[in-house]
Amino acid sequence: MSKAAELAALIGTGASTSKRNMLMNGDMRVSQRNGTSAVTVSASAGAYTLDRWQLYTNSGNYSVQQITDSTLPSGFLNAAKITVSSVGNTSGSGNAVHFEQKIEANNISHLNWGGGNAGTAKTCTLSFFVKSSVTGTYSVHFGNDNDRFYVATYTVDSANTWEKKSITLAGPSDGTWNTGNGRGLEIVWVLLQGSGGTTSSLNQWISAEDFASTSTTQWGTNSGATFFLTGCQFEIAGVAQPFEHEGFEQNLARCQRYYSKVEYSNWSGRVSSGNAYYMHDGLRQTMRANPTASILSQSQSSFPTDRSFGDYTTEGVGTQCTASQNADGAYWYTGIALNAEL
Amino acid sequence: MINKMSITKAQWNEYKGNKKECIKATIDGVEMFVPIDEGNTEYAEIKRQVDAGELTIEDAD
Repeated sequence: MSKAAELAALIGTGASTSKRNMLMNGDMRVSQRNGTSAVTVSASAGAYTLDRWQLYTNSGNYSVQQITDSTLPSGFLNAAKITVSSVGNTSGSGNAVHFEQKIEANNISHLNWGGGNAGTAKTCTLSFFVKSSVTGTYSVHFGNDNDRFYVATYTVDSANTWEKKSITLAGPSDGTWNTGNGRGLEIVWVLLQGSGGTTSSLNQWISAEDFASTSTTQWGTNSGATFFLTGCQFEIAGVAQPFEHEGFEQNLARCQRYYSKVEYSNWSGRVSSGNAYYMHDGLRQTMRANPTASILSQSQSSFPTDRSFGDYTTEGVGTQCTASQNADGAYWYTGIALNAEL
Repeated sequence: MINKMSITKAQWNEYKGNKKECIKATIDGVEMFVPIDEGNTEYAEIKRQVDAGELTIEDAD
């Protein structure tokens, strides 16, 4: 297809020619939480690893790492690498290993999915580059967290080889689709799935929350197996378009709506024992919701290690610390992680 | 939606004299301070578990 025809086709679908990828950090470049360190996610837990990407397991343990190497597809610097650390199994019908991203409802409202707005539900295409040590047919799940779900498959043809895959799905004309800052669409790369979450109703919208084909590859049962993913894009289009590369700072800023850090929240001064002192930190981006705070690092003099948090908004958070003794030159600092993931 | 959080402890946390400003919870093994905001994913899951009788929020220290 010529560039002119490609552009005309995009305009015809109502797609934007800029910022058309509804997935964030699809090129796996942002990793605020862990940098390039591997993180092991143990059953039964979910953990955000690279920004916006969550690995969930309730069977087996898996490490996730932002990697770079010379074999990546042209134009890509990074990928997510998932490795089986301790194999899972399918003995439990609800067993699952999922690598996924949840898209905020605000960012899919233009799709007309569910028939809520005048106009036809848009056809969309998911595309991505994958490299797996295990060949076979894999599953991808799409779901609205309510009542509409869709399972499609793709095939890894050659082991340990980058392959580009795409899945095109017609938008649903019904279902209860959120609007606002809640969950809009969940896209799941299924790496293991017990029988309770499988279906033979593929490539169609269904009301049961199934995740995989009945014959999906159970990648998570293979000791030491690896699975790489990058170049993930979900867009309004009838066929996959080239990956939309964006500036690193734009990518990072978009991710910071969901996860951000206050590296050093500092307070210092003269204190009286038993009195509480406060610090309020503004955030780099307006977050999706009032964020959950957790302590990344801390140091203090004349204060205990305990912290309290409050005065939450989507743009800032307060810290309270109560002095343990009278002192001049008392201080505390706290590194804070702020999480507003979906 | 699969429940993708493991919440093993929840306790009200005091801030500026408000004994229920947020919830100090252990989620997936990490201590977190969760705001009272239904749009917050951790709070929504805590509320769901409390409503279902699966979790109790302890009083603040």
